[in-house]
Amino acid sequence: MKTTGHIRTIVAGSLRKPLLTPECGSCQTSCQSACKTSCTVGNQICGISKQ
Amino acid sequence: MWNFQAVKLIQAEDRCLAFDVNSGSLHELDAVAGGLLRLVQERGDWRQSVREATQLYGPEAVSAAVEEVEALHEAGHLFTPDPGWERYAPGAGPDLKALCLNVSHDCNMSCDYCFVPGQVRTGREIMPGRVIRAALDLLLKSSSHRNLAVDFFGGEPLLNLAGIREGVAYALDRGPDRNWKFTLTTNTLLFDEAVCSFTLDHNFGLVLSSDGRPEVHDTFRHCAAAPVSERPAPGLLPPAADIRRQTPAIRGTAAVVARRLQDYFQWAAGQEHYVRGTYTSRNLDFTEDVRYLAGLGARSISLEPVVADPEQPFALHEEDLPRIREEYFRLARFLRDQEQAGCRISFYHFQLDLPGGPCAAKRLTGCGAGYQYLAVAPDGALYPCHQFVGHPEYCLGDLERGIRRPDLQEQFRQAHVFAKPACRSCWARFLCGGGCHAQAALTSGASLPDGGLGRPYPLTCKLVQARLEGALYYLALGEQQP
Repeated sequence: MKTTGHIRTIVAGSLRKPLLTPECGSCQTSCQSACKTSCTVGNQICGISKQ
Repeated sequence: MWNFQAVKLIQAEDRCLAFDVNSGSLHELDAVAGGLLRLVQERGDWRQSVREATQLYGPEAVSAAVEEVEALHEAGHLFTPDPGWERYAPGAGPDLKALCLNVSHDCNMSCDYCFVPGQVRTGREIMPGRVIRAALDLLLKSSSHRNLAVDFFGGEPLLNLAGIREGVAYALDRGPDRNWKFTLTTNTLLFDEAVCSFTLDHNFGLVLSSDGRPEVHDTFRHCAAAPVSERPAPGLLPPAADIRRQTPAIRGTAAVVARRLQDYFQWAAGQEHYVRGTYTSRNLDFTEDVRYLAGLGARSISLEPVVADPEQPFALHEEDLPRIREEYFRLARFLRDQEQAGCRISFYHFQLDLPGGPCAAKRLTGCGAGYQYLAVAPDGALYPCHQFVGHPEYCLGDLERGIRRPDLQEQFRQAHVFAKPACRSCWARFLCGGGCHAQAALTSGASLPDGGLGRPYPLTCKLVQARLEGALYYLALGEQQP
C-alpha cells in the first residue's frame, strides 16, 4: 500500500503477464471449486503458484 | 493517448475507488482525485477536465492530484494500456482436465429453484459403475494434464455413495501418476462421519449446500415429498429406497442441515470446503445469511445469485441490482468487522488476488466448459457442463461414441472474452472471464446462430459486476489504517 496526497494505492496489480497458449492447465476448472452457477476467474488460483 | 475508460470508478459507501482494468491495480481516491477522474471520464479530454477540476478544487490540490495520476500512469498502475491479449487464439489440443459426474439424478430434496430440468429430476437415474469407469477412462485418455479433477454431483450424489467410492478407487488405480482432485457437492442430508472420513482420506474438496437462516433455507430447500421408484439400483448400489429411508421425513431441512454442518466442522477442521448457498429476490439482505452460517462455525462461504426463469417469483431482476450492490458492500464491511474481532471468513467470490491470480489465458477463457470440462449424465451422455444436462440440443456426444458435436465443442472453445462484443469493453472482463456459458445459452441463446455463446446474459453480467465491486471494496477495507 502506498499513500500520496490524493491517491492511496491499495493493490499494485500485475495483469501484464505473457499470454501463453496453450495454457498449462494446472489450475482448477472454475466451476468445480464452489460456485457451480456463476463462476468467475479473478478468484481462481494459478495451479503452478499453488504448488 | 490515455484510454480514459480503462479505469472503473466505484463509489462504495463513503469511499471512492479506482480499479485500473488493464493492470488490475486498485486505488482509493480523495474528493479531488475522484472528482478529477470523474470529469476525465465524462469529458474524455484531460486538459479540459483539469481546468474544470481546478475551478472546483483549487489549483494547488488539482496540480498535486495531476502529478500523482501521471506518476501512477508512468508506473503502469493507472490508465494502463491494453495488455495486448486480443490476439488470443485458443489452442486446439485435447485438453480435457475435469469431469462433473452426475452420479445420481435422483435427489432426496426438491428445491423450488433447482436448475435441473423436470424430466431429468423425475427420471431419478443413478449412474452405474460401468458409466463411471468409462467416464474416468475418457478423462485419462483425453488428457495429458497431470492435475485431473472429478466432481461428484447430482441430484444428490450421496444417493450413489457406492458409485463415488468405486469412481475414486478406479481413478487412483488407473491413473496413479495423476494428481487427482475430487470434489463432492452435497445437500448434507446423508453426510455422516463415515462419509466425512472417506472424503478426508481422499483429499476431497466439499461443497455443502445451505442457504443460511432457517426461514430462508426452508423457503426453497425441501425434502423430496415422495419416495421412490422401487426399481433396483444398478451395480453395487443398494436400492435407492433403502438409502432414502435414512433421510429425515421432514419438509424443511434447515435444522438437519445446520446439525450436519456443525458436525462436519468438528470432524474435518481444515478440509478444503465451501458452504454454498443461493440467494433470491426474497433475501436480498443475504449478509444475514452469511452471519448465520458463520455463527454455525462456517469459515468458507459462497453465496450465489439464483439461476431462475424471470417469471419465477423468486427470480432476480434489474430493479434488484442497486439493493444487491449495496448488500455486497455491506457484506464486505461485515467480513472485515468479523476479522477485526478475530474471526476470518473466506467469502468465495471476494478472494481476488490482484497482484497474482490466474494466467492471461485463464482470464480470457473462463470456466473451460465444453472442452476442458465436461459433465457426464448417468446414461453416459456428455454435456458442456452440469447446467446443460438434460438439454439435448447441447449434448456433445456420449461415452460410447465419443464427441459427436465437434462443431459445438469448438463454439465453446472459441467463446472467449475477445470473441464477445459485450465483454471487450467491460471493465470486469479480466476478473470475470466472459461469464457463464450456460446462463448465456439457456436464457436467450437457443435461437441465435452461435447458441448464445457470444453474448453473455446481461443480468448475470450486472450481478457479477456488483459482486466484483463488493470484492474490490473488501480489499480496500482490508488496507485501512488502524
